[in-house]
Order: sequence, then C-alpha cells, then structure tokens
Amino acid sequence: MTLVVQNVTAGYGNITVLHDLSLTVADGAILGVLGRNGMGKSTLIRCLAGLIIPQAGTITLDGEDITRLPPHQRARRGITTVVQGRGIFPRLTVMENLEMGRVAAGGRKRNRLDEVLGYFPRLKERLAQDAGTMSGGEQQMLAIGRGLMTDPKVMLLDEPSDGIMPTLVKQIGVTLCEINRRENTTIVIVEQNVPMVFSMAQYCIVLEKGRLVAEGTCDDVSRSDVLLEYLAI
Amino acid sequence: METAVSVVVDATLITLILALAAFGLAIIYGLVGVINMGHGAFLTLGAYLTWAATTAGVPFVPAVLLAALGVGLVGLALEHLIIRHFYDRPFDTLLLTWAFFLVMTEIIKIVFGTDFRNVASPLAGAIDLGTVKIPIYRATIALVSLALIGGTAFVFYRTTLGIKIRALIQNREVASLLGLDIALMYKLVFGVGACAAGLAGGLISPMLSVDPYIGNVFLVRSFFVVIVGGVGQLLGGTLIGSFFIGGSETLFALFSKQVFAQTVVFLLAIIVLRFRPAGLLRAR
Repeated sequence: MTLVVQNVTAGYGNITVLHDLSLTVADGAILGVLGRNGMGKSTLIRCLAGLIIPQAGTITLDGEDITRLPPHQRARRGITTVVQGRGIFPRLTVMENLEMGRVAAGGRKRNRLDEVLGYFPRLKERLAQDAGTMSGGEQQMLAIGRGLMTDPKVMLLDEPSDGIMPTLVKQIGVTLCEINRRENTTIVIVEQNVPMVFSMAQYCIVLEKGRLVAEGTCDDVSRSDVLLEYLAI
Repeated sequence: METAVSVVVDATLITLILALAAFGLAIIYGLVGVINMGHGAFLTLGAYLTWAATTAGVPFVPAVLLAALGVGLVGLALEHLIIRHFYDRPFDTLLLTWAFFLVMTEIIKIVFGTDFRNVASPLAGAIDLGTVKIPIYRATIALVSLALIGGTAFVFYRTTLGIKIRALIQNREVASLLGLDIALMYKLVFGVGACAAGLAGGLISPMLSVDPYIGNVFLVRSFFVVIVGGVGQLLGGTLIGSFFIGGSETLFALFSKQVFAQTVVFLLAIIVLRFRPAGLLRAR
C-alpha cells in the first residue's frame, strides 16, 4: 500500500512540531526516518498512526484520505504500529499478546501464529509466560509479532532498537527485511540507529526541527554531508 | 461452637452479598476509571424496577432481569450522552455521576413516591444446619454472587473479549493501535457495570425495604470494597474487599455493638490504605 503525506503540519496543542511535511512511501518500500532527539520523528509516526490529527495537510493510504481517521480505523485498513518502548501488555501472556493482535479489530482474521513464530522462534518457548517478564529484545520481537498478527499492509516502527542488545538489533533488522520481502509490507522505521536504517531501508529522510532537510536513497544520503550536518556522524 | 458457626455463616453471606452490591462499581471504576457516584442510584433504580415489575405481576426472576436490563440501558444512555466526553477527567466524571445520582433520586421520588415498598421474597424458609439456620433466599443470593464473579472470571481469562478488556486496562493507546474500538469497549463496560448494579439492586430488594435511598446503604461500603480490594482487581479484589468490609464487621460485632464494629472496620480500612494505597491485591 502506498502512503502519501502531503503538506502535513502537526503538533501538540499550541506547539507545532512538524512543519509542512510531504513524503511518499511506495507500496512495499522501506523508508527510514532519521533525525536527532526531538526533531519530530515520533510525532510523524503518531500522525501516521492516528494518535495525532494534523493541524493541516493530508495523509492518504492507497488514495483514501485517512487524515482524520482514529487509530483503530487505520489499523483496520492495514496499518500497524510498534510504539517506542514496545507497548506490550505486561500482564498478558505472550500468547494473549499475540492473540490480541488477531482479535482486537474484531471480525475474522486468518490466524498467522505459525508464520509469526516462524519469524520469531524465541517466542515459541515463551508463549505461556507473562510478557512483562521477558527481556527487552524479546519484548520487541513480541511487539513486532503482535503487529504481524493484525495482517498489516503497512508497518510503522518507532525506535525498535531502543534499549536492545546490539546482536538482537541486527537480528530484528534482518527479520523485518524478510517480512518486507516475503509479504511486500510497506515499512516506515524511525530510528536513531543509523547503521540499522541503512542496512534495511531503500530510502530515507532526515528531519530537523520538524522539517524535511534531506531525502533520497540511503546510498545518496550516506554519501552526502547530511549525516555530519544534521546527525553529527 | 454454635456461635462460631453462626458467625462464619453470617460473615460469608454478608461478604458475598456486599460483593454483589459492589461488583457494578468495581467494573466501572476498575475498568474504565470512572469514580461512579451514581452507583447508588443504579442500585436503587434496580430495586424499584423490580418492585414495579413484580407489582405488575411479572414473576420475580424475569422482573430482576428486566430491572437489570433497564438499569443497563440507563447506564448506556448516561455514558453516551455525558460520560464519554469526560473519560480522561476523573474529577469531572466524579461530579457528573454525583449529579446523575441526585437527579435520578429525585426522578425516582417523583415516579415511585417516597413510601417504603416491599418486594416479597421468592424463596421463603431457611436451611436448618442443626446449629444454625440459613435463610434460603440469602443463601441463593450468595450463590448468585459467586456465579456472577465466577462467570466474569471465565469471560476475563478464557475469552477473546476478556483479552481485549485486560489489554485495554493495561495500555489503551496500544490497544487502539491494534484495531480495538476504545469508545465502543468503554460503552460496553459501562453498560455491563450499570447492568450488574441493577441486578444487585433487584436481588437485594426482598431483603430490605425499598426507598429512594436504598442504594446509599451500599454506596460508601462499595467504594471501600473496591479501594481496599484494589482498583482493577475485579475478582479477587472484590471478594477480599467485601470480606474486609462486610465479613469482618460481623466478626467484630460479636464482641461489640454494630456501630462500634463498623467504626473499627472503617478505621482498619484507612490504616490498610495508608500502607497499601493500591489495595490489598495490588496489581502484579
């Protein structure tokens, strides 16, 4: 599914965080969103997920205007969001967390449990365990797996490497690429971990004070002065 | 020995009856976070609707079910028209539900009058255990209370609806991002909570004289039950809180006057909350 953001201005109350932002994420593409802390990356994800309604501009999904749709309606149209800090339900078991992904929207969805456990075999051993007792990396796998249970067409990820061991970060990156390749899932990944984004995404954008200051293929961006100027790398 | 058995039976019955009365509040306060001061009005309305239906010739059980349904619909209307706009503002919902209580009490007075009404007990007699006699109706209500809590436990831990509700309590934002319609779930929970209060009012009505303030008897105690048991601890919390507030009062009354026993229990409740502000069964 193609996600198009046109001239979006958004923020919290009277504070504007994103200024006149436009971008397109093609069907099946992986877009990396880079930027330092407080530059509007998470606000962009919250806008796409429906947690913030933009003050101006439009967001369309395969041509349908979803700008003012609440989060659950967007989820039912195929957008799933893995929030920063993972947002697992700590007092539900791993199995119940996954089941929640399948049943939350109601209706009859195909059960993707076997596929999800295929992507994340580690979860298989922990199905009966309370999710809150797992390590950060396992919780991240669960959060992504739970998102997959919704059978998404678009996956929004907010800092999936946050607080996770480097070896697991690499593994999660590889799995996300596999999901993208096998299922043609469109992925938008917000990250401060630049190597992770470059290893996964075809395209990336750089945000600075809520404005888009660079965009292009990851190769182009990595070779330009953008990294030094805006990310101090 | 005879006294001990009698006290244990009384404490058990009172615990379960209080649990029944507090359950609707535990649902609404514990699951959607509304400090529902209208709980007493839901109980009163349930009692009056049961009285009206039985007076009109409807048998007791269908009358109670109709009353519960009626109160559930009133609860849904309250939620839809007013409460849903204020979910993130607990103090506002406290005032609004208090206003609902006042308005509903006046409406009840206008419609049903202020005279005491009596609902005939559908089950007369007592079970003779030799040393102690248990009124059949009270024993039945206690069993209904257990069945209600057991049924809720089943829904909570064995159904997809239960997963949705438990997820909703833990992280509303993420639940909505997975596709859960939060507004609809809140409406459902509020309606079920009101329905449970109406059911309790109807079932309690044969045990007391029905008057416009019958719900007040249970309102303060229900709050203590929920807070001492632990807000959100719907099943174990309600039972433990009910035992603490209702059952232990029976035990203390053995050694003192009823009023003194009540005072001791409420003092103990305050002490418990001082050291366990999240309740006896705090969230794991």
